[in-house]
Amino acid sequence: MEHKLICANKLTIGYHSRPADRAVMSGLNFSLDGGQMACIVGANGIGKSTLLRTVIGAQPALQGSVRIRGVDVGRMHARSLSRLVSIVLTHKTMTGGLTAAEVVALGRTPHTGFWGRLTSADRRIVERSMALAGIDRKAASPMAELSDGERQKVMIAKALAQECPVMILDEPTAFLDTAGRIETMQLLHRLTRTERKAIMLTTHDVGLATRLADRLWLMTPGGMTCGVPEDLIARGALDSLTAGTSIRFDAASGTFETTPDIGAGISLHCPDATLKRLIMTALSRNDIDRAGTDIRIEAQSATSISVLTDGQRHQCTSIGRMLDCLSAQAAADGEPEDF
Amino acid sequence: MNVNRNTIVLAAAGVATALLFAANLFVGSVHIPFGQVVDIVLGRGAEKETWEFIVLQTRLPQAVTAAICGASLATAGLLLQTVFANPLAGPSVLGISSGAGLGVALVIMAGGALGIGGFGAEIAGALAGAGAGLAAIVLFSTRVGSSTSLLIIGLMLSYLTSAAITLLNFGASAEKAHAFMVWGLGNFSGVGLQRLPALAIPCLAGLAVATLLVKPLNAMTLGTDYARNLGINTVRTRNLLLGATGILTAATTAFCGPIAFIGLAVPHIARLLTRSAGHHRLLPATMLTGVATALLCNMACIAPGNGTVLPLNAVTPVIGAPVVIYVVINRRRINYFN
Repeated sequence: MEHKLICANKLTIGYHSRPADRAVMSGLNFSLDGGQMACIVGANGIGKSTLLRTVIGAQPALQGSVRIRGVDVGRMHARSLSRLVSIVLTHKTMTGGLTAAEVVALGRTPHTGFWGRLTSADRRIVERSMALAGIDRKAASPMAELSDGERQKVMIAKALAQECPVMILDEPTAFLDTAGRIETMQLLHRLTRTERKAIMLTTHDVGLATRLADRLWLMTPGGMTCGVPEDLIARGALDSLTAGTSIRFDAASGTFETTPDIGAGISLHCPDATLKRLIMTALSRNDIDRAGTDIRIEAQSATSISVLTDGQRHQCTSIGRMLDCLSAQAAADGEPEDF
Repeated sequence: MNVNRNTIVLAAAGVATALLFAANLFVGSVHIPFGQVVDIVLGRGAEKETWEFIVLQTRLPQAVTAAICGASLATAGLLLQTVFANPLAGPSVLGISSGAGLGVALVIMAGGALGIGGFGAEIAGALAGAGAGLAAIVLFSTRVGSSTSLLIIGLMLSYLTSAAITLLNFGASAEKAHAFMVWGLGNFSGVGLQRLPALAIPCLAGLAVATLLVKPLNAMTLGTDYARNLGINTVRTRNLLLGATGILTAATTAFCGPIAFIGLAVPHIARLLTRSAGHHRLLPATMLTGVATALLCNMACIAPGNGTVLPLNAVTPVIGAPVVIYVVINRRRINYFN
């Protein structure tokens, strides 16, 4: 254990307060090595950010300790820690008037002298960091003109310029669009491989995390479960994130799914698993309840779906038409009672 | 290219400042011929002894006072805007200048009963009041983590001191209330040659501290959490910045009254000029622009040309307020605070 880059033993995180300390979570054990990415997942308020704040030394541990290269983070000076751990946070900064390159250059702060002047070596590191993060083309642009995704890359480049073995990111995908989320996570994954960084991040993107994380740290009210994502999925551990709901993690699709409820009185027959799932989702969303009837849906392909009821066969050319057909029948069945 | 632009801007601001300083010696409520002023400045004497007295004993110390106060207030404003990450922070919102106001109000309106009075006592009162305001805000800063909360506390302290001042005003004689009102108008002319060092020394010390903190100031633009992660001692930096701000504001307010808008508006003018939020460029630009703005305001006070001198605080908002409005309206386009 002691050989790992980061490790924690029987760690209690929380807040010092009077009359008694308020523990958020206790008995945490984890470790992470260079070249690995750990994604911390868990519900809001479970203590993900508290854990990160404890690891970066912004908040003292209530019990136990986090050690980086064997040294207790809580006993380290800000200056020494600044050469071991770099951070990327969610909150907006007031750096609109600085260029992307100037923000990345701030990452050199722990290495520059009293006036913060950059040497040519510093400038090379800044350029390389921007290239690694894929933001080098925007080097001269003011931060105010960058998109959220580009700003995130600038902050990641800043963290790289700091040249720390450990990178900590608080919800790096929070404000990004779909492409930005995937790109950012892929970038971080790549940095563990090419730069041998140890990366620890929090995210709500469990699907992406299961695909790209080397370790998944699952925080639930019962404690933190750590493991390779596939092991946690195989054990059904991810379902604890959605305990108390009908939502389950689907191992095949890698996403959380509600168990589709296709409605009473309907039977669905489809040889293609993907098409079957799509039709089930459509039926489930539309709350088609035909209890007391006997409707049989036969789907040969997405453009050939038959609805059989009372011996009649309606041929539909799309899932949308199928839904129209079902609701028309429901309306027709309801009519006699109205008049 | 950026470096070139920056050099040009700073050089232009420097030349403009020098010209404004010279102009302050040539213009005043008393007309003195151009050639005579040149002779006086070059030490060749003048036709009338009073002219020599006016230029060397009145206009010169007044211009120097304006220059020192302009640089000090503008720098105080910049430091506060960076520390609080808020474009509307300025020396007058942290309870420092209102503390000074309360000190002066006590001396002017209640000091008579204790046999205290005069310019020296007013300065002592302002320094004590500003010190108390600063101490209060530093005390709160050890208990309150968020800069925004601290800004609100500063505003509330200002309101509390205004309430006390209003009460003093209410109970004071018309003459004393008027004297306090006059102090509140702001004035660069009251310092004079003898007292100039007492203003200059604390101000230069405050400006020096600000200059020495350029690197942590740049890191602070990312916010406290990032700055700490970059190895900056954020608590010490914030205390030093607040201390420098307090000294700069207290000294200028004590000697020249509460001067509005220079601290708030000048950092914005400097940002528009340098087009940057990097303190390596912004701090010198802010100091220079502050000097130029104060000298311009000082000259504008005698603009009527018939011997009337306008109150300083009637002029500074005319220059400052449009700048702030411009910045707020164009915030999306200028955007150095998001």
